[in-house]
Amino acid sequence: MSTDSSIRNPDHPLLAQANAEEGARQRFVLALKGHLGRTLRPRMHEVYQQQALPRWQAEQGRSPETEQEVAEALYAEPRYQYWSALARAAQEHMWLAVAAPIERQRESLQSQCESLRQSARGSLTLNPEVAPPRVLREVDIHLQPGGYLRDEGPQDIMAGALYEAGGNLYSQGEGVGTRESKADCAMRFLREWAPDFTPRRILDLACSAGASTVPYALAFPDAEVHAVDLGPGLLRYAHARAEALGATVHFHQADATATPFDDGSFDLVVSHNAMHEMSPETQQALFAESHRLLAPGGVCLHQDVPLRLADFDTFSRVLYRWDEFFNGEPCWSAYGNNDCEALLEAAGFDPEHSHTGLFAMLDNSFSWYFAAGRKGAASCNGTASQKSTARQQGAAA
Amino acid sequence: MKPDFSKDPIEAAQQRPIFFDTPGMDELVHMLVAMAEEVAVLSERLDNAQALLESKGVLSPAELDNYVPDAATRQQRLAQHQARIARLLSVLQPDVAAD
Ligand SMILES: C[S@@+](CC[C@H](N)C(=O)[O-])C[C@H]1O[C@@H](n2cnc3c(N)ncnc32)[C@H](O)[C@@H]1O
Repeated sequence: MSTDSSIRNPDHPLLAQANAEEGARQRFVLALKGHLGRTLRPRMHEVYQQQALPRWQAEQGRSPETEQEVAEALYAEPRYQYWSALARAAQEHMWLAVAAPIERQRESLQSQCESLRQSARGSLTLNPEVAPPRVLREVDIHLQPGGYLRDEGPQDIMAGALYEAGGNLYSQGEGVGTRESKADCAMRFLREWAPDFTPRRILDLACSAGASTVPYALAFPDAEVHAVDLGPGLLRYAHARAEALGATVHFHQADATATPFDDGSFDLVVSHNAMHEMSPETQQALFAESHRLLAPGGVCLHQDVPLRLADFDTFSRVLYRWDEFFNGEPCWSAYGNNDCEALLEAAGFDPEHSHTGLFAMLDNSFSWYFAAGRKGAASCNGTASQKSTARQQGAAA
Repeated sequence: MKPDFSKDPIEAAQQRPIFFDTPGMDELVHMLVAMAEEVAVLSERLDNAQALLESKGVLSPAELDNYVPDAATRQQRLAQHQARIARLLSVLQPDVAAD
């Protein structure tokens, strides 16, 4: 068993094992999604240019201009309709294939989680009073069955188990499972940007199954590490998973924009792939809460996919927005159009001590988008703190 | 169906989307995907069995071609086909979980 925690998908005993049939189903959906995403999706520009555009022009006597008009032209094309229907079906079948081994091993996974949590060094604090935002109540993000808030009783871990297994299958398709984790990439950035900085109290906002929390706890064994999310089933699983990987983390059911912690009580506040699942108001509140929670000299670092919609032409933006409307990514363009520099500044971070831009993974195969701010007077490394405006294409999670 | 960008995508998420103009086409695509998945499962299963049997020297490919199942096995096969069909047509019963 690989226990290297700096890789994206470390192995641990809570991962359900697929039998022959389940494995075949997973490989099939992976192949189907790969074909739809990598082979057919890039051909949609051709479909648009050769069929959709001339047809719309003939009917309207002019070219489509707005995103809505381009969508009208594109969504009328049978080949795009086929692509859309297949991509939607593939996503639904992906979850069926991911869920099957988890459902089959559900009881044993639950009891393993229970026993890991009984001998825990970290902790779990649930608070059913916390009210989740509308988007999480009404949308199953990524079409994950039951959504992030799925909670079927005091031992239920389905939301976390599904989230991790879905992510693992997806990264198997992308071939990224053994690459540097997002958190390790962020820590490498911090060593460059703020070399003098060693956190003692760390908070991971919107932690999900804790995949990004664990690397901090292992890298800073002397620090106290906390993490929040809203889904009880995510948090129970995250807690057990962290224990299984030997990480001590304190998990809390709380809104990332209104945490139960005191002002100035952390010196590192992070989030990973969280902004793109938040409304514009929640994103702003995430930065404001980060600022409130930081002690002077403390750092916030919010990482996400490098999707900047302004870099794309109208047609490509329309293609991206398929996920927003039909694949459970309702905040996709709210994130892709946001302005992290402005969000940082509005939250109280001095632009002189802020950073926004891309940062490459260790093997240079991909770059993440980072928005970082340092509170108060402490200085940060000048060369790395330049604002980067070079932004590149992001991949849908 | 096309997205209405003037609307909140949360509303679009409340039902399974319909992309085709012809009613029923979207469901047909789901069935096609389910069908293709079954073929993938079966072909892996067969490959596994053949590989194991050949590696153990138990049988040759020719013996497989001539095998006829007994009555009990035939009943079991029938049940399997029924389950497979239920999965294939599960899109027609959104209220029934496919398993
Ligand atoms: C893509 S996942 C995060 C992935 C995780 N950080 C990782 O790196 O593996 C997004 C998470 O944000 C959580 N979330 C969304 N809005 C939130 C909010 N306002 N407060 C707390 N958590 C929130 C969701 O429940 C979900 O678990």
